[in-house]
Amino acid sequence: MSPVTATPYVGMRIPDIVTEITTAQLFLFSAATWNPHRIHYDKPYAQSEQFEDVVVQSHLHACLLSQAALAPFGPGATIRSISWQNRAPAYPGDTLVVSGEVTEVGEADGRVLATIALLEHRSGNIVCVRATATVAVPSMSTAGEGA
Amino acid sequence: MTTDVTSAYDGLRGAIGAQGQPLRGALDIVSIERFARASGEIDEIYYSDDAARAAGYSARPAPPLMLSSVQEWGGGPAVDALRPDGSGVGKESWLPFGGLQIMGGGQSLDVHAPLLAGTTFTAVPTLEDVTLKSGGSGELVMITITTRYMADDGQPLLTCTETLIGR
Repeated sequence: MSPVTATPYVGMRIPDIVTEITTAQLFLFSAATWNPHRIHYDKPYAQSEQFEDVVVQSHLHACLLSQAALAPFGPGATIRSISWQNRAPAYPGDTLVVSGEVTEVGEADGRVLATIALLEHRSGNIVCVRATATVAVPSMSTAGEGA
Repeated sequence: MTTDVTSAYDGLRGAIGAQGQPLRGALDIVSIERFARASGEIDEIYYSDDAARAAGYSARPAPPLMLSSVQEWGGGPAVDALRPDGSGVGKESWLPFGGLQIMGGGQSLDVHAPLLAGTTFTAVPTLEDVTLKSGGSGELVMITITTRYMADDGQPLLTCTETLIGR
C-alpha cells in the first residue's frame, strides 16, 4: 500500500521547493525531451530574441510545479490535472522557488482530491509561473496505481 | 502588425482545425530515468522498480509532465531541416509558423491514466485556435494546440492543451 505522508486540507501550505538553475540542467532537459529550440542552449541566439541568457524551458518550470504539488503526499499521489501560464522567463543562475496552498479538497474514486494554487518566483521576487494542480491522494484504505 | 506576423497569422488561421500526422511513441525505462534526472525528480519511484511497486504501480511510472514535454518521440528531422530558431520537431513541425519566433506560453493537462514503462501510444495534435494579442514588444500570435495521447489498447492517457506564443 502506498504510504501517505500528509492529508490535504484547505489552507494547507505546500513546502517550498527551491531549485538553483544551471546550464547543465537546461542542456539535459533539452536532450531528454529532444527539444532543439535554440533559445535554450545558444546564448547569442537567445539574446537576439531579447532574452538575457538561455531560457528555462516552459516544461521544466511545470516539472518543478508538479514536484512541489506531489511532494507532501507521498509516492502514491498522482497529478490528475495541471494548468500553468508562463509569466516571465528564468535563466541559469536564477533560484526558482515554488510555493503553494491547497484551495479545495474533495473525493473521487476512493481518493482525496486536492486543488492546489501554485506560484513560482525567481530571483528578484519575479513571478515566472502561475498554476493550478489537482492531486489525487490515496486514502488510508486505498492502494494501487491510478491517475 | 508587420507583414511577417500578418502573413504567419493568416496562414495559421487558415489551418485551424487541421490535425498533424499521428505521432508514435513509447515509454521505456531509460527515457523515463533521463527525463526524471533532467527535471530534478528525487522520488525513487522513477528510478527503482521496487519503489514503484511499493507505491502501488505495476511498472515504472513516468513523471506526469513527460508525455507533453517530449517534443519528438522518433528520430526527428535532419538538423538542416529545422527552422532558423531550431524548432520544427514532433507535434508542432507541421504548423505553418512562417517566420514567427515561438515560445511556450503554458499548458493545461488532464491525466487520464498512469503513464507506465512499456506503454506504446499515439499522439494526435490539432490546431484549435489562433488569435492576436498586443504585447509590450508588439503583436503576439497566440496559438492553441490540443494533443491527445492514447495507448495502443485504446486507453486515453493524456489530453494536453498548450499555448504557443509567436512574435
